[in-house]
Amino acid sequence: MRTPSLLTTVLIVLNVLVLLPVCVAEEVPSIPRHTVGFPMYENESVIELLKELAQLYSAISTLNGKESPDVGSKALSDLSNSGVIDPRLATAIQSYLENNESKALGVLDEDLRSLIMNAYGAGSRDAVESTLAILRSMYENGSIDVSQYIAALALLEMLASRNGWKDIADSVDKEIKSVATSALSREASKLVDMLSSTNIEAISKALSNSSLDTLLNIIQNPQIRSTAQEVVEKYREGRLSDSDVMRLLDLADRLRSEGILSESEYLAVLEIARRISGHSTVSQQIYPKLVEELQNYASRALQGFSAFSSVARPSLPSLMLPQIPSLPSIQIPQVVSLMMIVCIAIGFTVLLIVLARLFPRIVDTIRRHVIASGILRSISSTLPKERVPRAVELYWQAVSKVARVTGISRESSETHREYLRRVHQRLGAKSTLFERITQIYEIVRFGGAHDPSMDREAERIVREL
Amino acid sequence: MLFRAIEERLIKSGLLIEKEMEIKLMVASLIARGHVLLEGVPGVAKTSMAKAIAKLLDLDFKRIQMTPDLLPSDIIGCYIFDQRTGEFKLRKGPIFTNILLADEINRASPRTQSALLEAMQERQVTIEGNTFRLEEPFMVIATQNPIEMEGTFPLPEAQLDRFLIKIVTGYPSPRGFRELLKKIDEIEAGIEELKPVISRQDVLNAIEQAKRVKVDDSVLDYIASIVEATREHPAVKLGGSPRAGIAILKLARAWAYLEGRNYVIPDDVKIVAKPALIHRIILKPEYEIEGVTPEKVVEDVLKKVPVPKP
Repeated sequence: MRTPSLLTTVLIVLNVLVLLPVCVAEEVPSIPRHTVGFPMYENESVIELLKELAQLYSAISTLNGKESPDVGSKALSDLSNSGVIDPRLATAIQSYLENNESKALGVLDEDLRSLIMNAYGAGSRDAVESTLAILRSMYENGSIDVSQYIAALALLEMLASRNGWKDIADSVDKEIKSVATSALSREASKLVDMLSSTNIEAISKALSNSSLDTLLNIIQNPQIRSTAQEVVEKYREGRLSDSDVMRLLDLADRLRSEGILSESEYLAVLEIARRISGHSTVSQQIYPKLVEELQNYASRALQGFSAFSSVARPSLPSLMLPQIPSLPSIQIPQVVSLMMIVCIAIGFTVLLIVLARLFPRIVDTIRRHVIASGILRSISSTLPKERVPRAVELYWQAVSKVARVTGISRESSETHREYLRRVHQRLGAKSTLFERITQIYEIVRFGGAHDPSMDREAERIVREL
Repeated sequence: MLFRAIEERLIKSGLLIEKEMEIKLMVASLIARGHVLLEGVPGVAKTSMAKAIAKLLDLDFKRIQMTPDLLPSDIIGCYIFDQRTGEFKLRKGPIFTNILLADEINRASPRTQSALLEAMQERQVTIEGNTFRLEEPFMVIATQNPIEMEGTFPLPEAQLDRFLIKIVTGYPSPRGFRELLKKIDEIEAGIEELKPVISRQDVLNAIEQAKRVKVDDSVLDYIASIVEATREHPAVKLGGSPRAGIAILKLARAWAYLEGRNYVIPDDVKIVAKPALIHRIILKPEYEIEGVTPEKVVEDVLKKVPVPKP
């Protein structure tokens, strides 16, 4: 037997690596576990779906202030554990309900965390408002998901409440409620859809978990209960006929239409009738009734959720991010003209060297005059240096202005905050402006933030100072 | 955020009067994974501060009164023979905790001091050849009385260098003292009844997050210039070591984190420089006699070293 060459072995390995995921993908669905509906509910009972629907309803009620935060938090945990909703969304909403800063921080990625921490560091209304605008813009652009948006808003709301900025806190609170409610309602509608499309076998399986006696115990209405017991007795004694089952179903339909029979009682009667009728023609009439009943329940639940999703969105300022300018097209010089430029440069250099050799005194005189006139210094100052951010440049312009106005110049060993404290009183009404530009300087210079809105704000402040 | 919760419970509620700076430095040290040397005369709430922090952060707290006859095994633990089973059983010492208050560290013998300081540095102890890691977070708060020196064994400079910071705490102001006397019963009960504001896991998360706080290169240069300037000061015999610079950096990051920032500013460096440096500077005797102190040297240095520009 011939040993395969190295190339053949590599090709075989590559084929296996390429084909393996395809084969596996056919066996295991690639949808993540938290994706609502699939695949984890395929074999689950309808009752479980209804329970989770109720939990979602409870979480939404809490968000809208109809239940205590503990109830909503527990419901969210259960939903997250069972895989109905994304665990990060659950954590984000929980952090809002529990006012838990560390939980909210845990949801944010590094960039978003630094954005929020900058607002915390600045600790001013303006900083919070501009951060809110950036967040809103990022959420609308799809740069951050709903979990991160909710968690970031929750942190800013806590900051605003702590500083007594009630209007901001209220506005953010409304935004969180609106976003979280619609996120949960989306999950709810998926569950309701699933419930509506559940097939007869699944319903049958769900209800067949209970014994006949258990089903009888669900029925509280004495009239239907005695009839059901009588029919079950006949079934057990082997004397049951189709007419007995039909009599039970007719009575159940009548009482249900009169509103006397509850939903669970009606379902229990239907299941008893389905169970005892076996494979007779009557059982064929019962299945559609069961399906219809559950679909009605699902539709009512959906109406309940849609009531929440109509919460109005508050109007936070939206940030218009500048368009990235298109780069001008560069004209590449033709090879011939490029060669000419190189030749001229070489010729000019050779000419200078020859002149320097022939007239050394003249060259020396020129050199001394150039140095004395400071031309070299001025040339060196125009050479490109490491780029300083615009906001930082503007801060130092502001420092010069403040030093002129107050007569206090900044010492070399003095930090920006120390200087702010020293000039604060003398600046009077303008101290707020200088305080803000100092904050911007700090965030840009040491925090490494790149935000054109801060540059614009710094420009405005320098003009107003 | 973390400190705000502590501040609310301890400072604003009046449980610890005029101790905000000390508390904040101790929490910063915990987050920077360092140990604290607390210097102050008896009766200035040293134990109360350590106990209150441990309670609020849901951490285990133990206290040892250091005496000359204390043995290393009294701190780290030892194996004891169990007659019933015929085996040696480990009895862990008080060092197996999260916050250990070593009261009057300079009263212990040099042998016991070095056993404790070694455990602080390594964050592990070795008993009879078996090594045990100490549970994180771990912080030793060692106290010493600056006045009473009789019968003490002053810590050598190399040992002092192992403490991240030295906090000098003193008497409250007359106004603060009056307030303390008025509320003494509430304060005593309040400290005992303190409930955790964050969990141990939150503290561990804070330690990790503080490591990610951004430090600009110019701030690193600033720290290096400060440490170098302590060596060049005319009154100084021995200035800050590279470990001193590392201590400033770690503390500045922790301080920025406590302030709710994810970047360090020169102000953070200035605030933490004094507690990070004063126990590492040895003065020339002639200047010491004239009344120059390490605090004064650090103040001079901070007034001279330029802050990062632009």
